[in-house]
Amino acid sequence: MTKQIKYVSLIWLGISTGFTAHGASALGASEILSASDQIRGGGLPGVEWDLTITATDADTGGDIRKFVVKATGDQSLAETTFPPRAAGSKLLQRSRNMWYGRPNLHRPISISSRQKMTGPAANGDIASTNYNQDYNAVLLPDDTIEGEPSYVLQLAAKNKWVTYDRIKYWVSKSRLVPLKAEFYTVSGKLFKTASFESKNELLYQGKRQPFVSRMVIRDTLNPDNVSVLDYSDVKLRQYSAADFSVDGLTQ
Amino acid sequence: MKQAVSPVCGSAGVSDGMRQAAATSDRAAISIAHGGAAAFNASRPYVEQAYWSAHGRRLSAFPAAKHELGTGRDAHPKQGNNTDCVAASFGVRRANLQHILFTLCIAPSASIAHGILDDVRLDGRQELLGYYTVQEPADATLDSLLRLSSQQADLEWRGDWSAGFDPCSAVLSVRAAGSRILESEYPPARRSDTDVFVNAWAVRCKLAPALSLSAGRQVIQWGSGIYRSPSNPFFIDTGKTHPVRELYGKDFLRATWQFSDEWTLEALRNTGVGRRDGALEPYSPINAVRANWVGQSASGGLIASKGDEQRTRLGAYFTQTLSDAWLLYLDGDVQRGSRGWYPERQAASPLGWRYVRARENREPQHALLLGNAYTFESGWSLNIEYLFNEAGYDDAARAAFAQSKDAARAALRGNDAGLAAAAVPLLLTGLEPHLLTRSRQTLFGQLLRTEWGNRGDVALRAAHSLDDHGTSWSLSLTYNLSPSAELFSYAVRNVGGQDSEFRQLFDYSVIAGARWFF
Repeated sequence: MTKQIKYVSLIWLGISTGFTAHGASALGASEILSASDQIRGGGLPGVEWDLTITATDADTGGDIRKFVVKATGDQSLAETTFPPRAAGSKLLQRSRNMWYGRPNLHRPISISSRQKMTGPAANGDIASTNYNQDYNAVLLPDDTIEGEPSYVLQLAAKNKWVTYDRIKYWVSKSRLVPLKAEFYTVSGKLFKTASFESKNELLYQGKRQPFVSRMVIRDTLNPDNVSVLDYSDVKLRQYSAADFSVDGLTQ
Repeated sequence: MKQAVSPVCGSAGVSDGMRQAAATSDRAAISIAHGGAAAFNASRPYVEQAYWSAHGRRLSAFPAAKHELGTGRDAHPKQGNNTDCVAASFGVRRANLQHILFTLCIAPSASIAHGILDDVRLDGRQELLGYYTVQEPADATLDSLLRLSSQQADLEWRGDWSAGFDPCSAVLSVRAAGSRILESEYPPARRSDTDVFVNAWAVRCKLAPALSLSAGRQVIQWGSGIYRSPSNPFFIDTGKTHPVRELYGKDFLRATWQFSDEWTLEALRNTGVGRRDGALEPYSPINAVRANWVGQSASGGLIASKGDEQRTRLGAYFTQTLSDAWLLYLDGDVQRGSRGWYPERQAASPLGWRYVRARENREPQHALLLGNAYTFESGWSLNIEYLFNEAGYDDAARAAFAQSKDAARAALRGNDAGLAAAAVPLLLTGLEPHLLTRSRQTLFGQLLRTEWGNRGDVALRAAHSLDDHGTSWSLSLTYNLSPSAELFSYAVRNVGGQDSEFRQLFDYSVIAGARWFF
């Protein structure tokens, strides 16, 4: 964690002192991944954001879900605020463990990250992201996404707890923010793609850093199946261990 | 002026005092507000309305006022002292009186409330559900005793609120329920019933960052078992298998010490039960100590408990996350003896049978639930659980149970009032023997799909006794009508012998209804 912060500080120092894209290309795959994780809340000491997921499906129409997500380290808590029939339900992730709770359920349920308890997105999509912890990264030849030069990373799962087995990940060379991702099954089949926007800002360690503002996930097998994750009201917070307690899920 | 010098600095004074002072100048009004900045929030609509009346715009529209309101809260030397309030009204120049009165009396009084309300985080949910039940009693004798309904309509309102006011928080769950029996084989004592009750409430305060105390009526559960949680000495049911029925809260005193990110230590005392909770009558207070642990890919805990009847239990629960889709879990306990009731032949009893707590011998009794959950790529999750309950009825106890029931049924069919009276407790005790399960071995399965096609949830469950070979099947469906409404149905079919565990009351039951959330 300290190491990650050190890397990110160095990266941002580099950017702020006018490092060029060429200079930044000296970064290793892990450093690039760590920096892009922070843009999505991974590895930050304490952060909160509002998340709206709009899912569209050709067969079933649309579905809107809203959450308040709190994250620190490898812990996150997502509380549903909309729709009213699901309001108050919570999804807690602590390391590889995940629980789902509702005030009237009285008992947290142990669930897997593959399970969908809070709408169409998988639980792993809602929680904060720490790819650097869960994937081994290898740099591929650079690419350009919508005119923006980008690193291309090949991510392979380090363990069997992650939602996706393999990811191809594009990260902006100049801003170190995620631009695009392709998610593959164990058999190597592409089954989801995602695009990112990072228009939010966060004041972290005295510096402004971008934070993801939109993630659009498309199902490649059913292209009409689209989930749009909008992030807003991002702010740093301080949390205690009790804020992420399992018992708190049903209270 | 008397109005403003109201002995208790009443609200009429607030209105007039503020309006007149505010009319003097903006600055004066700001000073008034400044004097008791916190007052603004305490009666925010009221005070703001007064200001709006005087100035034609809302107080919050004035940046200076907003600033001073935000900074003056802590500066006021005398908050809410009504003696000071009256005393201050003498010996001052009339021109400044209103200002001073508001500054010293009204604003501070409201200041306290403002200070409280400003920091209070309120949340609430309400739910209205109406449902219709059709069911077929399985045992005519029990039906004649309990006068079960075969068709019934229910309407329930459930309100849940929470408030956070650092370092404390509070929750309150109020329930109002009404039911009407529309059809029954035997006329019930009352066709309609209504009740309003508090199902849960609790106040929790942090004494230190890692230490908290709570008191109230709560449902406290842990572990991953769906069918039962043997390690829990307080609650037999998990409340996870019935989509409508709620567990009743019990009264607890609770101290929780989270001494690291991974470990929590908790001391609990269950001091009582609610009037609706008769499951463990006669009630015996229970003390417990629980250690809970959350690791990288596993979690678990240990609990030691002792009731006032000096029965000690040791329980444990553990969940291992094997992959993004697969969980393994266990939940078990060992205790000396059992609180359950067991049938025993006794020649002196009118029917030749009685129920005794035969396991008072304090021999160790084990219960263990082993579970497995797997989520498929399609999103369906399958849970399989096996429960061994040593305190359940063995072959001899099951045979005795059947014979005692036969004797009781025969007595109720006969003409001897004395024998019939003796049969009633025999049947009712057999119905609720205070055991985790009456069977010693049970298999449970659940196939669940949440948010199927963004339209609703489906759950198919089955519990099968490996002892009496009875099975209870259930299908639970919900359909999302709108963001605030859903339809639901819950169908249960019980199969097995006449004295099997799952076919005691009903052959089948179907519930259909709707819920509104607001």
